[in-house]
Amino acid sequence: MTEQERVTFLKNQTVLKNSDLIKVNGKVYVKIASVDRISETYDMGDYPKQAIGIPIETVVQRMFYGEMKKRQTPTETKVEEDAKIETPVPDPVKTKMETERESVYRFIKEKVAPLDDAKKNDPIFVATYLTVLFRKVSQPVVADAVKKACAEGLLSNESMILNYHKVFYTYSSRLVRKLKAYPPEEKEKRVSALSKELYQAYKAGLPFSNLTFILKELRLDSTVYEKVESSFYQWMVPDFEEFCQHTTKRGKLLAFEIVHKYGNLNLDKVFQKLEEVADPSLRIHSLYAIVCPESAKSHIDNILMEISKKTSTPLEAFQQLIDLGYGDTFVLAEIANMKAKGLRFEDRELYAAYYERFKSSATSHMIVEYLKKAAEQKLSAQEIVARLKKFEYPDNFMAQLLDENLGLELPYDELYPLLGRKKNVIKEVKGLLAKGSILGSFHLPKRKPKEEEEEKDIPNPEEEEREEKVEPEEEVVEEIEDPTKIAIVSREKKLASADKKTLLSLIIAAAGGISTAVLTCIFKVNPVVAAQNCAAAIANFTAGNLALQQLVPASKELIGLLTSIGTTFAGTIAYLRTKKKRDKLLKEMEEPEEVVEEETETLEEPQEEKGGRTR
Amino acid sequence: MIEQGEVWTLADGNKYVVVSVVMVDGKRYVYLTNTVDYKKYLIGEYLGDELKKIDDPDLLETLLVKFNDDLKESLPRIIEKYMEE
Repeated sequence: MTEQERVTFLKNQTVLKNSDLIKVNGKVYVKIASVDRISETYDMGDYPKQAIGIPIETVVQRMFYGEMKKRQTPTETKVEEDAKIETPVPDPVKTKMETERESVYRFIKEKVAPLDDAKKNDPIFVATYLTVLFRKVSQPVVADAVKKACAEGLLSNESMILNYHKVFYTYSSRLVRKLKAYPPEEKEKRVSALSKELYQAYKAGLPFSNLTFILKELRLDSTVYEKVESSFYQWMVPDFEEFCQHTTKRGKLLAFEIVHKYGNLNLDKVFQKLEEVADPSLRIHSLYAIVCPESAKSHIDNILMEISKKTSTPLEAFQQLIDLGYGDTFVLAEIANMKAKGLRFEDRELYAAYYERFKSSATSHMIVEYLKKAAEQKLSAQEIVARLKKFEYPDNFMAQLLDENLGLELPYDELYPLLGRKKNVIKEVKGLLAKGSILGSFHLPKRKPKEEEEEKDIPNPEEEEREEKVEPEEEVVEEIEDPTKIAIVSREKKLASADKKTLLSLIIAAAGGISTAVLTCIFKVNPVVAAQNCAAAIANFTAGNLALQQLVPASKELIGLLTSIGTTFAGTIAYLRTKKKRDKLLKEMEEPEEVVEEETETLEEPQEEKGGRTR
Repeated sequence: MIEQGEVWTLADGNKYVVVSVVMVDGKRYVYLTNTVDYKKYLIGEYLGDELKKIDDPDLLETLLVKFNDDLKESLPRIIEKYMEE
């Protein structure tokens, strides 16, 4: 092979072949590693068999990172096969290395150095940038360029950049190699494995932008790509859950934290997952609106349009948005846009709906808190209204909030006119109602538990007098109230996953308790007592910090018992038996033993069969 | 629509988990268990914003059987879900 032929061969070479290996003193070496190192040979160690078929570039990387040792003095050893290895390096190859080094350096000088300090001094950012853009350039070449740039003061943190780049570069290369090794026809089947590899790489610190390029290099078809990506986010769920559980921050700070932590992931998908795992109180969507306003807007638009098409009410639309936790003003602004787009909500409906929506919102609580502070600080009406306006709520809504918080030491008479209201309507209506001037058709705001405190706090002597007059009527209302009724203050549907587990175990325990109660009913025990037994049984089940949590994961046989025997009581007995609480329960049941024994006898077989697995 | 596992805050300031929901004579009844003190429970008729406690022994007996049937059906699913969590 002539030198020219060798160069051509190398340039066309993509994978390592048997013919690229040589034996020197019984050791195996690769004689051509890459076009950059044509004259060098490397000790392959145990590597040659695995190396066949692997891209030469990858082989070189492995050599650099310790999987193969560079042969120190190949020319001093007797070459048994292929003496041509010592042929001098052709100039074009060296030129290529220099060209690459120069292009990396130029990139640093022209693109990285002018960036703001926060970015260019961030070694991870710089290393990521260089890994992604120069992933075909070998790590030492990039390192040379970085060193040069640092020496000239274009970059700082030389050693950190080099370390990160080395890690990213090596990891990316290994990952690509590993993933490419999956036969194409199995890629779809191994979506989970691929995504797990990506996840592990991410956990190991590889920036997601690198992972994206890696995925692209695999040239997966779009369906598989989406599946891998989606599966990757599934792997991320525990991280999201942990993040949601441990964060105590709110609002913009939390949004910042999300961007900081997950900023190099697809934030739309991050928020989608956070929404699934987070406690609603985190109001993930309000953060989503901060971080990804465009995506959030289109999300809201879709919800509203969908609801609009289904001829639902605006209130339902708002309810859905509340459930998603979007911020008030953001939704309002978007609704205004939607209206401009021809959403069919009428003004009156719209106002009524967002009043309902705001009334229960965190922001309205914030406003009330602000009003309380304003009262303490004895701020003027102008100062208060100026602050209230910053919430960007309609004046009328603010006025209604004042209506509901009349017990504060605020200059109400001045505030109402500033909010476009001539007088305090609710106050007047209350007065009229007290005098019997208005029939019961007028719907007063619901009575809340805190209302009593608010009433006690009313400082205005005039109001106190009025309250005194009103008092007898209000007491009558209290007497009319049905004592067997209890108001439902709030309902939470979406729960954080940590809570879910506790609640599920509680339901399981309650199911056992109820079946116990039913059994005692069969024994003609008063159902009221039975229900109490049921509660006691639930307490038994849940004793010791929900001991059930230890039981259920370990006992598939419990499910078997429940389904095969078909009664929850069977599960109850099985559980109690395993926990040595049977006697306690039996004592609680006041009826004949024999019936219980009949029931338990049916359990003997499966219990004994599975005894080895039951703790 | 009431879902099993919802957490309700009632006017007594306590939180309850919805264990079971059944319909009897066109009325919806719920079985709630306090999320902290498991001895506290509530069996009541769901009235939208309010809950009417049930004291009538006959109705209570009917309801207990109904709740039991409901849970008998859903328990394997709940346990499986629990194990997945």
